[in-house]
Amino acid sequence: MKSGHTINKIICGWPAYLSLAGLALWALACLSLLFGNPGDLAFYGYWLLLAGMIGLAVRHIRAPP
Amino acid sequence: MLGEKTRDPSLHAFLFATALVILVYLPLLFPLLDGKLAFTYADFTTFTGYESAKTRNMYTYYTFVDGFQVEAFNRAFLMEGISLFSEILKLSDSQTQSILILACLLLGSFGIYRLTGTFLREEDRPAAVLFLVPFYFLNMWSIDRIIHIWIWFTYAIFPLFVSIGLSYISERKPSLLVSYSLMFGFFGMIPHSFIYLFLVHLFLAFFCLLSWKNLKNTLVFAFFPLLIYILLNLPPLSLFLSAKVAYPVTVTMFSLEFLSEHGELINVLTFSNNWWPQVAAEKILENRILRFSSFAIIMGAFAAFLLGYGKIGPREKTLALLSLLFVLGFIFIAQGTNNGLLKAFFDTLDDGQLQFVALFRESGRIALMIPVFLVLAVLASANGLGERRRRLFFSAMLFLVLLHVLSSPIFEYVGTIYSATEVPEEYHALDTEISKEYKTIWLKPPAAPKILSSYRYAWNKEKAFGSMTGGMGSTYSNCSVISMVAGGNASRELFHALNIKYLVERTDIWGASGFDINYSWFECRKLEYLTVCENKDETEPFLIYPPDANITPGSLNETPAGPAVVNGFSRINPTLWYVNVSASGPFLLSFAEVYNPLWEARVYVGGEKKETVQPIKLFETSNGYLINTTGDMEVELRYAPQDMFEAAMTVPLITLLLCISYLGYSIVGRDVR
Repeated sequence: MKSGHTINKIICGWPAYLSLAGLALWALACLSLLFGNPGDLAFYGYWLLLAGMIGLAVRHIRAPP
Repeated sequence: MLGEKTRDPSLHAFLFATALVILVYLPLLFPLLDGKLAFTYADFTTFTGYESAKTRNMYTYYTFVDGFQVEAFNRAFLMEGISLFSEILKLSDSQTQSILILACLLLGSFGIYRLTGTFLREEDRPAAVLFLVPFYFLNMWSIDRIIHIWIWFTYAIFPLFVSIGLSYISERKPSLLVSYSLMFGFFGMIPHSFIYLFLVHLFLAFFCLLSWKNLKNTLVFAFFPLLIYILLNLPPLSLFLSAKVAYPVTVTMFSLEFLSEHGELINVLTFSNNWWPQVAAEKILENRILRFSSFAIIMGAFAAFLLGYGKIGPREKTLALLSLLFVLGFIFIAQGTNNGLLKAFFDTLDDGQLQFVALFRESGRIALMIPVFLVLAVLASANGLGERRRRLFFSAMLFLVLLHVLSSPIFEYVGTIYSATEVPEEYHALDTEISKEYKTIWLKPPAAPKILSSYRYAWNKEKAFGSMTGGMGSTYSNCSVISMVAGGNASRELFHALNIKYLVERTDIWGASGFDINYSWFECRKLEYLTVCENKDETEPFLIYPPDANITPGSLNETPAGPAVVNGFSRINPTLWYVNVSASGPFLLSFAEVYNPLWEARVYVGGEKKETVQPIKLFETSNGYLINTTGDMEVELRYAPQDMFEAAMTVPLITLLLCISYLGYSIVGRDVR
């Protein structure tokens, strides 16, 4: 029951988690700037963040007032 | 009194942060103390004289004739007003520019202060102001864009523009909408600024729709400012409609790729995406502290939103979400052809369709839109962080801004590159001595070294060669005949026909060499920097030829005199000349002014208009008119679109008067109530 609730929460909260994952990749990219080349981390972070933010926006607009 | 002051720390923070920013911008304000100082760096150039405004206008609009760019006299409403304003107040253009820089700094800073009052509780405002004001004005994008000062003015006032827009959305006072619209009309007068302000307006219109959920009111908000914009800018807009005046630069896929240099995603995220940095690129691209702190500031805005997502109100959530989506959108565009999707889109466009992206050709410039949306996102999200985390957040951001400012080359930009400087006296002397009734050809050196892809002035190597002399005299556009003149191969008669009185060798360019012009009828004098050669022959702007003469640059010395004589002429302004002619038969009138089909000859006899004649092209570059009227006549040479431009001038003036009267009335009415 409890694990089902958690899974449900993760599924419902995917836009926020996607955005956080994107932000985490950006954080790694940002730190690696201090030591060298961040490679493609910023690129993948950007798309995760964009997808997550679009998801959040759609969910916010569709939410009842 | 003292107790009252100490109870207002946010005002103190605003004053402190603004003073700090002004201190950094101080080298751009020095002309206020010394009117002899001028801005001379590349495009960021001012020079004395009413007609020098034309030079600035030419960066905005051109006329194209047969695919070639030619001179157009576009009297843009407020741009030329700068020189007019300088004339009336007896200020130099640089002083007026400094006043505008200071005014825009103060307005923008006040806008941020006002925005913090909209979103934050009083105790949180000082920290927010201390972080946001320096961030907004001292970041690399802001400092770099000073080079295109009209775009920077628009950037500087974004926060106030947004703040007034948001106030209208929440209070619905018409006076706020009028103020907002006036800002739109004034600061959006050049095409780039219009697009930037339009994007901010689009953002607010979206927000309006989502907040009010009322289409009718949203449409009023969306279209009223556009209407005021059109009315205030009707004169230049009328040129677009009437005179084939177009944006100056044609775009190709190659130019889009070239101008996307340094536009990779990681460079956009680190404020390092300038395709033409004014310092060695390594100072930015290999600056680890600058890049780390810049990226961290952008991340900070997203982190504040995501961490406080559940705890902010729906209105703030809408605003923050929309702001961050706009930020991501601008990051997408700013990469230019480095962005695979954008490049694939450009590839689908043909040459004609590519021109629609002309204003975005330097795609990195759009990054200038990002800071104002970061400011909005931070302010709308901050309340969701909780008190302790909010303080920690603002402290961390303040630290990052400090790192960004101290590690970036902004002090070099402001203090050395863009700073106002003394200009050798000979430029001022030539500006008054070279009559605009004659033509001047400016000769660039065949060889001269460059620094950071720019020629430098011999009298100040730190200043990139700009258009400072463009306002002196008047000249012809480049064509093969002018190349012949500049190459030393033109005949004496051609100089006469084209009314070329001066050749100026640009020996003021650092390291210039290889000039070998040697016309025997010119007398050259080396000034301290420039070399001025004066044509000892008398030249005139008007000549008469037989109507059937076959005139080419090579046949000039055999051309017989025409059946008419010029009795006198006068130049009223760059768009209007009068010439008195007595003719015994049809004749060809040569008018030594840059060829443009829009230059009309209107022939009057005894005050009655007899005919209007369109020009034919003479010597590839000047105008000729086949006139059939005989007897004593007055010919008016007029750049025709100027008529519509001047007629349309009454519209912005009436609009401005009405708007200001309404604002005055609403302020007085409020005080009475």
